[in-house]
Amino acid sequence: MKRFIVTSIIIFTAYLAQTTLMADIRIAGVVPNLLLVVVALVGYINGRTQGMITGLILGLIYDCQYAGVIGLYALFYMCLGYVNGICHKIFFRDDYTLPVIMVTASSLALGFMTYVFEFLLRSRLNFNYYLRNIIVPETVYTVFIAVLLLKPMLMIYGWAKRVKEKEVTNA
Amino acid sequence: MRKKTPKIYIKPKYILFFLMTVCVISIAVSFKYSEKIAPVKTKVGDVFTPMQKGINLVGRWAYNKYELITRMNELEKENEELKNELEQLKGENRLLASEKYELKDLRAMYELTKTYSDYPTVGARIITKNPNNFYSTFTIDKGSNDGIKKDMNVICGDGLVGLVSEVGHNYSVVRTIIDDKSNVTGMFRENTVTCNVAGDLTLTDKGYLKVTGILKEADVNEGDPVTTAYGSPKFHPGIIIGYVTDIHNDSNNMTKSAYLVPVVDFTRLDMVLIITELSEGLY
Repeated sequence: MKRFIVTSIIIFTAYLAQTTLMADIRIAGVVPNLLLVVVALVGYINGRTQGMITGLILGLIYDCQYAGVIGLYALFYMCLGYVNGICHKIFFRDDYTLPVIMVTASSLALGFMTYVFEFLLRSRLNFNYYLRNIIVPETVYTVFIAVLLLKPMLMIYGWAKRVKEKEVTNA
Repeated sequence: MRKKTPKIYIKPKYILFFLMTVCVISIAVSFKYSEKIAPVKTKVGDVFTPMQKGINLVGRWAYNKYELITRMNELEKENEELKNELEQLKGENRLLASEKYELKDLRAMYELTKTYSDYPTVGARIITKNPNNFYSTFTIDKGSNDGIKKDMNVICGDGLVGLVSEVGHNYSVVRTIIDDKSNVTGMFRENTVTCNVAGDLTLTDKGYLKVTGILKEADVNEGDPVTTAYGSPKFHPGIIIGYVTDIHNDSNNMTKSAYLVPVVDFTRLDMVLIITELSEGLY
């Protein structure tokens, strides 16, 4: 229950931050993807099901407010949450390598999927341009944000877990 | 750890497959019946828009204060310059004002249609820009409660910004003309040669739009102003879009293409005007 509340608050804050702060603080015209960071890290820390649900909810909210069709980004984020959740099995607290690799791969995959569904289908074939000018810079910023957020998120979930254990022993 | 209630355990794999199917169905449904799912989208917007608005107000206030402190000297100098310019413009304005009456009479005589400057407009503030790097849309703080409808034209200063693409109760989404999916029928103001002005993500960094379909015989020059065309189904005619540059022949040797520098600075948009009268188009 605690974990559920914590995740809800994280989703809420991340979405608001991404759509207001992040969209305004553009570095070289590119916005880092905080939503992806949250989905990937929740998946990595808490496992497949949670990563999947987090991705689904964030994607759905994003779809409703910004995208044309409902479900496209929900699908993307959900799959990414699931894939990141698989790595929960080799989760190790002080390891930065794995989350960095996972976030990088997720960001690249999301960029590629967006390109395929929104640009390639409208016969924009210049993939090289989109890769160099949008997907890669976005990935770099996103990974940077992920590294900054990994420790705080681990701490929050660690706290939630401790509270839960305490409740159980007290009862 | 103790479990209070026995939980039904389903493998995450199957949940994923189930939810994926739901998503795919949802994509198909919302693609086909985009009108019918609009209320659902509005509900989400109703929840988040006021909060985003609040955060942005605070952010903007802080930024303004910061800028005030850091740019004091600069601003003083700019103020001086602007005062001089204002004096100059006042003089010019007086001249123009007298000519305006003449123009009005002449227009009435020729029974010309209204220009966009006669249409009623309403101001709106930008709440959020789309956080996805692939799109150029933004949300404004006026919605159907303020009389905004889909397909209303959005301008800033006197240049075209875009089109209202989605309307909620207290917000609406504007697709700018630099968005990759945007497409406007334009014409050259001097000789009413029509062309197609489309946003292109690969040109956004350079600040250009793509102009295609200019007839090869047309007499157009670099720096010519392009406005919205009379035949445009969604845009009011005569709104300036920008100035053409780099005109070159297409490989089909029948049409010419060019780039267009928009008059609106899309990186610094804050307030926009919405023309609250829908364009009737020609059909």
